[in-house]
Amino acid sequence: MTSKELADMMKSSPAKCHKALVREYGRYVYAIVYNKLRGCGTNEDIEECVSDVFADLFMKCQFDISSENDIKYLIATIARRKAIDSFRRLSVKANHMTDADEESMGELVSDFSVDEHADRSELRRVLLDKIDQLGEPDSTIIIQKFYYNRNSNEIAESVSMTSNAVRVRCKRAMDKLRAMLVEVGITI
Amino acid sequence: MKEKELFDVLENAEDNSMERLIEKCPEISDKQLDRILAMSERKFKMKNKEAQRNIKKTENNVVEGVERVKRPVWLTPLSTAASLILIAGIVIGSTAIIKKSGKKSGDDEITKPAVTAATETTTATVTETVTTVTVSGTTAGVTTYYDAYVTDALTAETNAQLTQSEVTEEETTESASQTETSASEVSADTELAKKFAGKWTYQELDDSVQTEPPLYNNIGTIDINEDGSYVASKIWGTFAGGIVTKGEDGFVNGRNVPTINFNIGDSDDIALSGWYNEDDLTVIYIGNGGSARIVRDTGNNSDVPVVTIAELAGEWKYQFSGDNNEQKDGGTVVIKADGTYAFDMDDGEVEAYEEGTVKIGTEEIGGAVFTTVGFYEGNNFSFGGYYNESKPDVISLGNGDVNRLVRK
Repeated sequence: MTSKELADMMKSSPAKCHKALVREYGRYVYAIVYNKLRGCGTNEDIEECVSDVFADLFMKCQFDISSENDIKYLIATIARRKAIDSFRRLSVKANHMTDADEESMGELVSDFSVDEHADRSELRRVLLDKIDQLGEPDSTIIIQKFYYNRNSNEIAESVSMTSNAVRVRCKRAMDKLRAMLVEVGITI
Repeated sequence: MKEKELFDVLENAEDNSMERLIEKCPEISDKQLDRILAMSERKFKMKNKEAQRNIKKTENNVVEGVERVKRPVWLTPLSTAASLILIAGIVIGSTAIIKKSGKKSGDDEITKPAVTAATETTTATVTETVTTVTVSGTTAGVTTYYDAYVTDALTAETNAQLTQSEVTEEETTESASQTETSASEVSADTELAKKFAGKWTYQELDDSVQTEPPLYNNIGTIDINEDGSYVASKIWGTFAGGIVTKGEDGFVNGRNVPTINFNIGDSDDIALSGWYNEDDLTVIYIGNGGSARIVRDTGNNSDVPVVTIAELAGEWKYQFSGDNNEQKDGGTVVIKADGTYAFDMDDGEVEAYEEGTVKIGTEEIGGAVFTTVGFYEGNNFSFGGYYNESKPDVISLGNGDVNRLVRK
Protein backbone atom coordinates (compact mmCIF):
# COMPACT_ATOMS: atom_id res chain seq x y z
CA MET A 1 0.00 0.00 0.00
CA THR A 2 1.49 3.33 -1.00
CA SER A 3 1.10 6.49 0.94
CA LYS A 4 -1.00 7.97 -1.85
CA GLU A 5 -3.42 5.05 -1.72
CA LEU A 6 -3.53 5.35 2.02
CA ALA A 7 -4.30 9.07 1.89
CA ASP A 8 -7.10 8.50 -0.60
CA MET A 9 -8.58 5.73 1.47
CA MET A 10 -8.35 7.89 4.56
CA LYS A 11 -10.38 10.58 2.89
CA SER A 12 -13.13 8.20 1.83
CA SER A 13 -13.38 6.09 4.99
CA PRO A 14 -11.02 6.31 7.95
CA ALA A 15 -12.42 3.11 9.50
CA LYS A 16 -11.75 1.12 6.37
CA CYS A 17 -8.32 2.64 6.15
CA HIS A 18 -7.54 1.58 9.70
CA LYS A 19 -8.71 -1.93 9.04
CA ALA A 20 -6.67 -2.13 5.88
CA LEU A 21 -3.58 -0.94 7.69
CA VAL A 22 -3.93 -3.56 10.38
CA ARG A 23 -4.50 -6.32 7.84
CA GLU A 24 -1.65 -5.19 5.66
CA TYR A 25 0.95 -4.42 8.31
CA GLY A 26 -0.26 -6.30 11.37
CA ARG A 27 2.13 -9.17 10.87
CA TYR A 28 4.96 -6.80 10.07
CA VAL A 29 4.44 -4.74 13.21
CA TYR A 30 3.92 -7.84 15.28
CA ALA A 31 7.26 -9.26 14.14
CA ILE A 32 9.11 -6.04 15.02
CA VAL A 33 7.48 -5.73 18.41
CA TYR A 34 7.92 -9.42 19.09
CA ASN A 35 11.62 -9.13 18.37
CA LYS A 36 12.01 -6.47 21.07
CA LEU A 37 9.65 -7.83 23.70
CA ARG A 38 10.21 -11.55 23.25
CA GLY A 39 12.35 -11.81 26.33
CA CYS A 40 10.42 -9.60 28.72
CA GLY A 41 6.75 -9.46 27.75
CA THR A 42 3.81 -11.79 27.48
CA ASN A 43 1.67 -12.23 24.38
CA GLU A 44 -0.76 -9.72 25.86
CA ASP A 45 2.02 -7.20 26.31
CA ILE A 46 3.04 -7.66 22.70
CA GLU A 47 -0.53 -7.24 21.44
CA GLU A 48 -0.93 -4.17 23.61
CA CYS A 49 2.20 -2.67 22.11
CA VAL A 50 1.08 -3.52 18.57
CA SER A 51 -2.22 -1.74 19.18
CA ASP A 52 -0.28 1.29 20.50
CA VAL A 53 1.68 1.34 17.27
CA PHE A 54 -1.46 1.36 15.17
CA ALA A 55 -3.13 3.98 17.36
CA ASP A 56 -0.16 6.26 16.74
CA LEU A 57 -0.25 5.43 13.08
CA PHE A 58 -3.96 6.28 12.88
CA MET A 59 -3.22 9.63 14.49
CA LYS A 60 -0.61 10.37 11.87
CA CYS A 61 -2.94 9.31 9.11
CA GLN A 62 -5.28 12.14 10.03
CA PHE A 63 -2.74 14.49 8.57
CA ASP A 64 -1.55 14.46 5.02
CA ILE A 65 0.97 11.65 4.72
CA SER A 66 1.00 11.50 0.95
CA SER A 67 4.48 12.98 0.99
CA GLU A 68 5.85 9.94 2.79
CA ASN A 69 8.11 7.94 0.47
CA ASP A 70 7.26 4.61 1.92
CA ILE A 71 4.65 4.09 4.58
CA LYS A 72 6.38 0.89 5.58
CA TYR A 73 9.38 2.75 6.91
CA LEU A 74 7.13 5.03 8.90
CA ILE A 75 5.38 2.06 10.42
CA ALA A 76 8.66 0.31 11.16
CA THR A 77 9.99 3.40 12.92
CA ILE A 78 6.87 3.82 15.03
CA ALA A 79 6.88 0.11 15.86
CA ARG A 80 10.52 0.09 16.90
CA ARG A 81 10.10 3.15 19.14
CA LYS A 82 6.94 1.91 20.72
CA ALA A 83 8.51 -1.48 21.29
CA ILE A 84 11.53 0.11 22.97
CA ASP A 85 9.21 2.18 25.17
CA SER A 86 7.32 -0.95 26.15
CA PHE A 87 10.54 -2.83 26.72
CA ARG A 88 11.71 -0.15 29.16
CA ARG A 89 8.38 -0.04 30.93
CA LEU A 90 8.21 -3.82 31.28
CA SER A 91 11.84 -4.03 32.33
CA VAL A 92 11.29 -1.45 35.05
CA LYS A 93 8.34 -3.46 36.31
CA ALA A 94 10.33 -6.65 36.40
CA ASN A 95 13.45 -5.05 37.65
CA HIS A 96 15.43 -4.48 40.38
CA MET A 97 16.45 -1.95 42.88
CA THR A 98 19.83 -2.64 44.27
CA ASP A 99 21.76 -0.95 46.97
CA ALA A 100 25.06 0.40 45.83
CA ASP A 101 27.51 1.91 48.21
CA GLU A 102 30.12 4.38 47.12
CA GLU A 103 32.79 1.76 46.63
CA SER A 104 30.75 -0.41 44.36
CA MET A 105 29.60 2.61 42.38
CA GLY A 106 33.02 2.78 40.82
CA GLU A 107 32.69 -0.78 39.66
CA LEU A 108 29.42 -0.21 37.90
CA VAL A 109 29.92 -0.06 34.20
CA SER A 110 27.64 0.03 31.22
CA ASP A 111 26.16 -3.35 30.43
CA PHE A 112 26.65 -2.63 26.76
CA SER A 113 29.71 -4.43 25.52
CA VAL A 114 30.87 -3.62 22.01
CA ASP A 115 32.65 -6.95 21.68
CA GLU A 116 29.70 -8.91 22.86
CA HIS A 117 27.38 -6.91 20.65
CA ALA A 118 29.56 -7.62 17.59
CA ASP A 119 29.76 -11.29 18.50
CA ARG A 120 26.00 -11.56 18.88
CA SER A 121 25.48 -9.77 15.61
CA GLU A 122 27.82 -12.15 13.82
CA LEU A 123 26.30 -15.16 15.50
CA ARG A 124 22.84 -13.96 14.52
CA ARG A 125 23.94 -13.57 10.90
CA VAL A 126 25.55 -17.02 10.81
CA LEU A 127 22.57 -18.64 12.46
CA LEU A 128 20.12 -17.10 10.05
CA ASP A 129 22.35 -18.07 7.13
CA LYS A 130 22.48 -21.67 8.28
CA ILE A 131 18.75 -21.71 8.87
CA ASP A 132 18.21 -20.42 5.34
CA GLN A 133 20.47 -23.16 4.05
CA LEU A 134 18.04 -25.69 5.52
CA GLY A 135 15.58 -24.64 2.86
CA GLU A 136 11.82 -24.40 3.05
CA PRO A 137 9.78 -25.43 4.90
CA ASP A 138 12.44 -26.49 7.41
CA SER A 139 13.72 -22.96 7.97
CA THR A 140 10.22 -21.65 8.63
CA ILE A 141 9.47 -24.57 10.94
CA ILE A 142 12.67 -23.98 12.92
CA ILE A 143 12.13 -20.23 13.24
CA GLN A 144 8.48 -20.56 14.22
CA LYS A 145 9.23 -23.38 16.63
CA PHE A 146 12.19 -21.94 18.48
CA TYR A 147 11.99 -18.22 17.87
CA TYR A 148 8.25 -17.55 17.72
CA ASN A 149 7.52 -20.35 20.20
CA ARG A 150 4.68 -21.84 18.13
CA ASN A 151 3.55 -25.36 18.75
CA SER A 152 3.48 -28.01 16.07
CA ASN A 153 -0.24 -27.64 15.38
CA GLU A 154 0.06 -23.89 14.77
CA ILE A 155 3.11 -24.41 12.57
CA ALA A 156 1.34 -27.18 10.70
CA GLU A 157 -1.39 -24.75 9.70
CA SER A 158 1.02 -22.17 8.40
CA VAL A 159 3.08 -24.65 6.37
CA SER A 160 0.12 -26.79 5.31
CA MET A 161 1.42 -29.98 6.87
CA THR A 162 0.30 -32.33 9.57
CA SER A 163 1.54 -31.71 13.06
CA ASN A 164 3.34 -35.06 13.11
CA ALA A 165 5.15 -34.22 9.92
CA VAL A 166 6.10 -30.87 11.42
CA ARG A 167 7.54 -32.57 14.50
CA VAL A 168 9.60 -35.02 12.44
CA ARG A 169 10.88 -32.35 10.09
CA CYS A 170 11.66 -30.09 13.01
CA LYS A 171 13.79 -32.75 14.68
CA ARG A 172 15.65 -33.58 11.53
CA ALA A 173 16.15 -29.92 10.67
CA MET A 174 17.48 -29.21 14.11
CA ASP A 175 19.97 -32.06 13.89
CA LYS A 176 21.07 -30.79 10.55
CA LEU A 177 21.39 -27.22 11.79
CA ARG A 178 23.38 -28.38 14.80
CA ALA A 179 25.82 -30.16 12.53
CA MET A 180 26.15 -27.12 10.30
CA LEU A 181 26.83 -24.89 13.27
CA VAL A 182 29.45 -27.25 14.62
CA GLU A 183 31.20 -27.01 11.31
CA VAL A 184 31.58 -23.28 11.81
CA GLY A 185 32.61 -23.72 15.42
CA ILE A 186 29.30 -23.07 17.14
CA THR A 187 28.12 -25.72 19.53
CA ILE A 188 24.71 -25.92 21.08
CA MET B 1 16.00 -25.87 25.97
CA LYS B 2 19.47 -25.30 24.64
CA GLU B 3 18.01 -24.70 21.20
CA LYS B 4 15.68 -22.03 22.56
CA GLU B 5 18.53 -20.32 24.29
CA LEU B 6 20.41 -20.28 20.99
CA PHE B 7 17.50 -18.54 19.34
CA ASP B 8 17.49 -15.84 22.01
CA VAL B 9 20.39 -14.40 20.07
CA LEU B 10 17.90 -13.38 17.41
CA GLU B 11 16.25 -10.86 19.78
CA ASN B 12 16.85 -7.20 19.21
CA ALA B 13 18.05 -7.89 15.72
CA GLU B 14 19.33 -5.24 13.35
CA ASP B 15 17.38 -4.36 10.24
CA ASN B 16 18.80 -7.00 7.89
CA SER B 17 18.19 -9.86 10.25
CA MET B 18 14.86 -8.37 11.16
CA GLU B 19 13.65 -8.56 7.57
CA ARG B 20 14.50 -12.25 7.44
CA LEU B 21 12.67 -12.90 10.69
CA ILE B 22 9.63 -10.95 9.52
CA GLU B 23 9.44 -13.15 6.45
CA LYS B 24 9.15 -16.21 8.61
CA CYS B 25 6.73 -14.68 11.09
CA PRO B 26 3.64 -16.85 11.35
CA GLU B 27 0.42 -15.48 10.01
CA ILE B 28 -1.66 -13.68 12.55
CA SER B 29 -5.18 -14.98 12.82
CA ASP B 30 -8.10 -12.79 11.86
CA LYS B 31 -9.37 -13.01 15.38
CA GLN B 32 -6.12 -11.69 16.73
CA LEU B 33 -6.00 -8.93 14.12
CA ASP B 34 -9.55 -7.88 14.97
CA ARG B 35 -8.62 -7.75 18.60
CA ILE B 36 -5.61 -5.58 17.79
CA LEU B 37 -7.72 -3.35 15.55
CA ALA B 38 -10.34 -2.89 18.24
CA MET B 39 -7.70 -1.93 20.79
CA SER B 40 -6.04 0.40 18.32
CA GLU B 41 -9.31 2.14 17.48
CA ARG B 42 -10.13 2.62 21.14
CA LYS B 43 -6.73 4.14 21.87
CA PHE B 44 -6.89 6.22 18.72
CA LYS B 45 -10.26 7.67 19.71
CA MET B 46 -8.98 8.60 23.13
CA LYS B 47 -5.93 10.27 21.71
CA ASN B 48 -7.95 11.97 19.03
CA LYS B 49 -10.50 13.25 21.52
CA GLU B 50 -7.77 14.71 23.64
CA ALA B 51 -6.09 16.27 20.66
CA GLN B 52 -9.32 17.72 19.32
CA ARG B 53 -10.08 19.23 22.67
CA ASN B 54 -6.82 21.08 22.81
CA ILE B 55 -5.42 21.55 19.40
CA LYS B 56 -7.04 22.60 16.20
CA LYS B 57 -5.59 22.28 12.77
CA THR B 58 -5.92 25.13 10.36
CA GLU B 59 -6.34 24.88 6.64
CA ASN B 60 -2.67 25.51 6.13
CA ASN B 61 -1.89 22.42 8.10
CA VAL B 62 -0.59 24.52 10.96
CA VAL B 63 -1.37 23.18 14.36
CA GLU B 64 -2.38 25.71 16.97
CA GLY B 65 -3.63 25.64 20.47
CA VAL B 66 -2.46 24.86 23.88
CA GLU B 67 -1.87 21.42 25.09
CA ARG B 68 -3.87 20.84 28.19
CA VAL B 69 -2.43 18.76 30.89
CA LYS B 70 -4.75 16.99 33.23
CA ARG B 71 -3.83 17.61 36.79
CA PRO B 72 -4.91 15.18 39.44
CA VAL B 73 -8.20 16.26 41.01
CA TRP B 74 -6.83 15.98 44.51
CA LEU B 75 -3.91 18.27 43.76
CA THR B 76 -5.84 21.54 44.16
CA PRO B 77 -7.42 20.84 47.56
CA LEU B 78 -4.20 19.32 48.76
CA SER B 79 -2.12 22.32 47.75
CA THR B 80 -4.77 24.66 49.18
CA ALA B 81 -4.71 22.82 52.48
CA ALA B 82 -0.94 22.86 52.51
CA SER B 83 -0.93 26.59 51.84
CA LEU B 84 -3.43 27.22 54.63
CA ILE B 85 -1.39 25.15 57.03
CA LEU B 86 1.72 27.06 56.03
CA ILE B 87 0.02 30.43 56.46
CA ALA B 88 -1.48 29.37 59.78
CA GLY B 89 1.94 28.21 60.89
CA ILE B 90 3.50 31.52 59.96
CA VAL B 91 0.76 33.49 61.71
CA ILE B 92 0.90 31.38 64.85
CA GLY B 93 4.67 31.37 64.85
CA SER B 94 4.84 35.12 64.37
CA THR B 95 2.28 35.69 67.09
CA ALA B 96 4.19 33.45 69.45
CA ILE B 97 7.46 35.22 68.71
CA ILE B 98 5.92 38.66 69.09
CA LYS B 99 4.25 37.59 72.29
CA LYS B 100 7.45 36.13 73.58
CA SER B 101 9.55 39.12 72.68
CA GLY B 102 6.85 41.49 73.90
CA LYS B 103 6.73 39.84 77.29
CA LYS B 104 9.58 41.23 79.25
CA SER B 105 11.37 39.53 82.03
CA GLY B 106 10.67 40.74 85.53
CA ASP B 107 13.66 43.03 85.41
CA ASP B 108 12.61 44.60 82.15
CA GLU B 109 9.10 44.95 83.31
CA ILE B 110 10.20 46.95 86.27
CA THR B 111 12.78 48.91 84.36
CA LYS B 112 10.20 50.17 81.94
CA PRO B 113 8.32 52.96 83.62
CA ALA B 114 4.85 51.74 84.30
CA VAL B 115 3.52 55.22 83.82
CA THR B 116 4.29 55.05 80.15
CA ALA B 117 2.61 51.69 79.78
CA ALA B 118 -0.44 52.87 81.56
CA THR B 119 -0.67 55.94 79.42
CA GLU B 120 -0.43 53.91 76.28
CA THR B 121 -3.10 51.51 77.36
CA THR B 122 -5.48 54.19 78.38
CA THR B 123 -4.98 56.25 75.30
CA ALA B 124 -5.53 53.33 73.02
CA THR B 125 -8.71 52.27 74.70
CA VAL B 126 -10.18 55.70 74.84
CA THR B 127 -9.41 56.43 71.25
CA GLU B 128 -11.07 53.27 70.14
CA THR B 129 -14.12 53.91 72.19
CA VAL B 130 -14.58 57.50 71.30
CA THR B 131 -14.68 56.69 67.65
CA THR B 132 -17.74 54.54 68.11
CA VAL B 133 -19.82 55.78 70.96
CA THR B 134 -20.63 58.78 72.98
CA VAL B 135 -22.09 58.89 76.40
CA SER B 136 -25.07 60.06 78.17
CA GLY B 137 -25.06 59.11 81.76
CA THR B 138 -26.30 59.99 85.15
CA THR B 139 -22.94 60.52 86.73
CA ALA B 140 -22.30 64.15 87.26
CA GLY B 141 -19.14 65.36 85.71
CA VAL B 142 -18.61 62.26 83.62
CA THR B 143 -18.06 63.41 80.12
CA THR B 144 -16.59 60.45 78.33
CA TYR B 145 -17.66 56.93 77.85
CA TYR B 146 -14.51 55.65 79.39
CA ASP B 147 -14.97 57.52 82.60
CA ALA B 148 -18.49 56.31 82.78
CA TYR B 149 -17.39 52.78 82.25
CA VAL B 150 -14.70 52.79 84.85
CA THR B 151 -16.90 54.38 87.40
CA ASP B 152 -19.63 51.90 86.71
CA ALA B 153 -17.33 48.93 86.87
CA LEU B 154 -15.86 50.14 90.07
CA THR B 155 -18.78 51.17 92.15
CA ALA B 156 -21.71 49.63 90.35
CA GLU B 157 -23.51 52.82 91.20
CA THR B 158 -23.30 54.55 87.89
CA ASN B 159 -25.74 53.41 85.32
CA ALA B 160 -24.14 55.00 82.38
CA GLN B 161 -25.95 54.36 79.21
CA LEU B 162 -24.59 54.52 75.78
CA THR B 163 -26.09 55.64 72.59
CA GLN B 164 -24.68 55.17 69.21
CA SER B 165 -24.69 58.86 68.57
CA GLU B 166 -25.80 61.99 70.25
CA VAL B 167 -28.58 62.38 67.73
CA THR B 168 -30.04 58.95 68.46
CA GLU B 169 -29.34 59.19 72.11
CA GLU B 170 -32.69 57.95 73.26
CA GLU B 171 -33.02 55.11 70.84
CA THR B 172 -30.41 52.81 72.17
CA THR B 173 -29.56 52.20 75.75
CA GLU B 174 -26.99 49.75 76.58
CA SER B 175 -25.03 49.44 79.72
CA ALA B 176 -21.39 50.18 79.42
CA SER B 177 -20.39 47.02 81.13
CA GLN B 178 -22.32 44.93 78.64
CA THR B 179 -20.84 46.50 75.59
CA GLU B 180 -17.39 46.99 76.79
CA THR B 181 -14.48 45.28 75.54
CA SER B 182 -13.17 41.98 74.81
CA ALA B 183 -10.86 42.16 77.80
CA SER B 184 -11.46 39.30 80.16
CA GLU B 185 -12.60 40.01 83.65
CA VAL B 186 -10.40 39.45 86.65
CA SER B 187 -11.17 39.46 90.30
CA ALA B 188 -9.63 41.67 92.89
CA ASP B 189 -7.03 40.36 95.30
CA THR B 190 -8.68 41.20 98.58
CA GLU B 191 -5.78 39.88 100.66
CA LEU B 192 -3.50 42.26 98.86
CA ALA B 193 -6.03 45.06 99.14
CA LYS B 194 -6.25 44.64 102.87
CA LYS B 195 -2.53 45.17 103.15
CA PHE B 196 -2.67 48.31 101.11
CA ALA B 197 -6.08 49.62 102.17
CA GLY B 198 -6.02 53.33 102.79
CA LYS B 199 -5.28 56.59 101.18
CA TRP B 200 -2.29 56.89 98.91
CA THR B 201 -0.65 59.68 97.00
CA TYR B 202 0.78 59.29 93.55
CA GLN B 203 4.00 61.26 93.14
CA GLU B 204 6.34 61.88 90.27
CA LEU B 205 9.98 62.91 90.52
CA ASP B 206 10.73 66.53 89.73
CA ASP B 207 13.71 66.33 87.41
CA SER B 208 14.10 70.07 87.19
CA VAL B 209 15.74 70.35 90.59
CA GLN B 210 18.55 68.35 92.12
CA THR B 211 17.91 67.96 95.78
CA GLU B 212 18.74 65.47 98.43
CA PRO B 213 16.42 63.84 99.08
CA PRO B 214 14.82 64.15 95.62
CA LEU B 215 11.77 66.30 95.24
CA TYR B 216 8.53 64.57 94.31
CA ASN B 217 5.43 66.37 93.13
CA ASN B 218 2.01 65.13 94.13
CA ILE B 219 0.01 64.18 91.08
CA GLY B 220 -3.10 62.62 92.48
CA THR B 221 -4.59 60.36 95.08
CA ILE B 222 -5.63 56.74 95.15
CA ASP B 223 -8.00 55.24 97.69
CA ILE B 224 -7.63 51.50 98.08
CA ASN B 225 -10.51 49.68 99.72
CA GLU B 226 -10.31 46.41 101.54
CA ASP B 227 -12.71 44.78 99.07
CA GLY B 228 -10.05 45.15 96.39
CA SER B 229 -11.47 48.17 94.63
CA TYR B 230 -9.75 51.48 94.35
CA VAL B 231 -10.69 54.94 93.21
CA ALA B 232 -8.12 57.25 91.76
CA SER B 233 -8.27 60.91 91.08
CA LYS B 234 -7.80 61.81 87.47
CA ILE B 235 -4.12 61.26 87.54
CA TRP B 236 -3.85 60.87 83.81
CA GLY B 237 -6.97 62.61 82.73
CA THR B 238 -9.13 59.53 82.32
CA PHE B 239 -7.89 57.08 84.88
CA ALA B 240 -10.59 56.66 87.47
CA GLY B 241 -10.46 53.34 89.23
CA GLY B 242 -10.89 49.63 89.23
CA ILE B 243 -9.52 46.78 91.24
CA VAL B 244 -6.13 45.82 92.56
CA THR B 245 -4.56 42.51 91.65
CA LYS B 246 -1.32 40.80 92.39
CA GLY B 247 1.18 41.03 89.56
CA GLU B 248 4.05 38.84 88.60
CA ASP B 249 7.16 39.24 90.64
CA GLY B 250 9.58 41.84 89.40
CA PHE B 251 13.35 41.81 89.61
CA VAL B 252 14.94 44.87 91.11
CA ASN B 253 18.50 45.39 92.20
CA GLY B 254 19.27 41.73 92.16
CA ARG B 255 16.26 40.45 93.97
CA ASN B 256 12.69 39.46 93.31
CA VAL B 257 10.07 41.87 94.49
CA PRO B 258 6.29 41.52 94.67
CA THR B 259 4.16 43.78 92.52
CA ILE B 260 0.68 45.19 92.70
CA ASN B 261 -1.42 46.01 89.67
CA PHE B 262 -4.11 48.65 89.39
CA ASN B 263 -6.52 47.22 86.88
CA ILE B 264 -8.86 49.35 84.84
CA GLY B 265 -12.30 48.39 86.07
CA ASP B 266 -12.48 44.64 86.46
CA SER B 267 -10.75 44.00 83.19
CA ASP B 268 -7.27 42.61 82.83
CA ASP B 269 -6.06 45.91 81.41
CA ILE B 270 -3.56 47.33 83.81
CA ALA B 271 -3.41 51.09 84.30
CA LEU B 272 -0.54 51.06 86.71
CA SER B 273 1.81 48.56 88.23
CA GLY B 274 4.31 48.98 90.98
CA TRP B 275 6.52 46.98 93.28
CA TYR B 276 6.93 47.10 97.00
CA ASN B 277 8.75 45.63 99.93
CA GLU B 278 6.89 43.32 102.21
CA ASP B 279 8.71 45.00 105.07
CA ASP B 280 7.57 48.42 104.12
CA LEU B 281 4.02 48.76 102.91
CA THR B 282 4.10 52.52 102.86
CA VAL B 283 5.59 52.98 99.43
CA ILE B 284 4.80 51.43 96.05
CA TYR B 285 7.55 52.10 93.58
CA ILE B 286 6.69 52.71 89.97
CA GLY B 287 9.62 51.49 87.92
CA ASN B 288 13.03 51.13 89.43
CA GLY B 289 14.39 54.50 88.48
CA GLY B 290 12.57 56.34 91.18
CA SER B 291 10.65 58.38 88.62
CA ALA B 292 7.32 57.82 90.32
CA ARG B 293 5.94 56.27 93.44
CA ILE B 294 2.78 55.89 95.43
CA VAL B 295 3.10 56.65 99.11
CA ARG B 296 0.71 55.84 101.86
CA ASP B 297 -0.97 58.74 103.56
CA THR B 298 -0.14 57.94 107.16
CA GLY B 299 -2.20 60.76 108.54
CA ASN B 300 0.82 61.86 110.45
CA ASN B 301 1.26 65.39 109.32
CA SER B 302 3.23 66.58 112.23
CA ASP B 303 6.84 67.48 111.80
CA VAL B 304 7.81 65.57 114.89
CA PRO B 305 9.87 62.44 114.31
CA VAL B 306 8.37 59.30 115.70
CA VAL B 307 11.61 58.12 117.16
CA THR B 308 14.50 59.55 119.17
CA ILE B 309 18.24 58.94 119.03
CA ALA B 310 18.05 57.22 122.33
CA GLU B 311 15.50 54.79 121.00
CA LEU B 312 17.70 54.05 118.03
CA ALA B 313 20.81 53.55 120.10
CA GLY B 314 22.34 50.15 119.77
CA GLU B 315 24.02 47.90 117.23
CA TRP B 316 22.52 47.66 113.79
CA LYS B 317 23.40 45.24 111.09
CA TYR B 318 23.95 46.81 107.69
CA GLN B 319 22.35 44.65 105.00
CA PHE B 320 22.36 44.96 101.25
CA SER B 321 20.97 42.96 98.40
CA GLY B 322 23.45 40.53 96.97
CA ASP B 323 23.20 38.13 94.12
CA ASN B 324 20.30 35.69 93.92
CA ASN B 325 18.07 37.90 95.98
CA GLU B 326 19.99 37.29 99.15
CA GLN B 327 20.37 39.82 101.89
CA LYS B 328 24.02 40.08 102.75
CA ASP B 329 25.58 41.58 105.79
CA GLY B 330 27.82 44.47 105.00
CA GLY B 331 29.01 45.48 108.43
CA THR B 332 27.82 46.94 111.68
CA VAL B 333 26.56 50.38 112.57
CA VAL B 334 26.67 51.34 116.21
CA ILE B 335 24.38 54.24 117.09
CA LYS B 336 25.14 55.82 120.37
CA ALA B 337 22.69 57.69 122.50
CA ASP B 338 24.82 60.83 122.26
CA GLY B 339 23.99 61.11 118.57
CA THR B 340 27.17 59.68 117.13
CA TYR B 341 27.68 56.53 115.22
CA ALA B 342 30.47 54.21 114.09
CA PHE B 343 30.17 52.23 110.89
CA ASP B 344 32.47 49.26 110.54
CA MET B 345 31.91 48.27 106.92
CA ASP B 346 33.01 44.87 105.68
CA ASP B 347 30.99 43.43 102.85
CA GLY B 348 33.65 40.99 101.72
CA GLU B 349 35.01 43.38 99.13
CA VAL B 350 35.21 46.74 100.79
CA GLU B 351 36.47 47.38 104.29
CA ALA B 352 36.02 50.82 105.74
CA TYR B 353 35.42 52.53 108.98
CA GLU B 354 33.38 55.62 109.41
CA GLU B 355 32.35 57.77 112.24
CA GLY B 356 29.99 60.66 112.42
CA THR B 357 26.74 61.94 113.75
CA VAL B 358 23.19 60.75 113.45
CA LYS B 359 20.41 63.19 112.74
CA ILE B 360 16.72 62.50 112.95
CA GLY B 361 14.29 64.58 110.94
CA THR B 362 11.09 64.46 108.94
CA GLU B 363 10.26 64.51 105.28
CA GLU B 364 6.91 65.14 103.71
CA ILE B 365 6.01 62.77 100.97
CA GLY B 366 2.66 63.20 99.31
CA GLY B 367 1.23 65.03 102.23
CA ALA B 368 2.47 62.39 104.65
CA VAL B 369 5.38 62.98 106.96
CA PHE B 370 8.05 60.35 107.31
CA THR B 371 10.77 60.15 109.92
CA THR B 372 14.22 60.25 108.42
CA VAL B 373 17.48 59.01 109.90
CA GLY B 374 20.60 60.60 108.39
CA PHE B 375 24.19 59.60 108.96
CA TYR B 376 26.67 62.43 108.50
CA GLU B 377 30.42 62.64 108.41
CA GLY B 378 30.95 66.09 109.67
CA ASN B 379 28.51 68.17 107.65
CA ASN B 380 28.46 65.80 104.74
CA PHE B 381 25.56 63.45 104.33
CA SER B 382 26.88 59.91 104.13
CA PHE B 383 23.79 57.75 104.00
CA GLY B 384 20.33 57.68 105.43
CA GLY B 385 16.87 56.26 105.32
CA TYR B 386 13.40 56.20 106.69
CA TYR B 387 12.14 54.95 110.00
CA ASN B 388 8.65 53.57 110.36
CA GLU B 389 7.31 53.06 113.81
CA SER B 390 5.47 49.99 112.63
CA LYS B 391 8.87 48.42 112.10
CA PRO B 392 10.95 49.72 114.94
CA ASP B 393 13.88 47.41 114.22
CA VAL B 394 14.44 48.43 110.62
CA ILE B 395 15.79 51.59 109.04
CA SER B 396 15.16 51.48 105.28
CA LEU B 397 18.02 52.99 103.33
CA GLY B 398 17.06 54.56 100.05
CA ASN B 399 14.11 53.75 97.83
CA GLY B 400 12.83 50.27 97.89
CA ASP B 401 14.39 49.04 101.07
CA VAL B 402 17.16 47.52 99.00
CA ASN B 403 19.63 48.36 101.71
CA ARG B 404 18.66 48.60 105.33
CA LEU B 405 19.80 48.59 108.89
CA VAL B 406 18.41 45.85 111.05
CA ARG B 407 18.72 46.02 114.79
CA LYS B 408 20.92 43.28 116.17
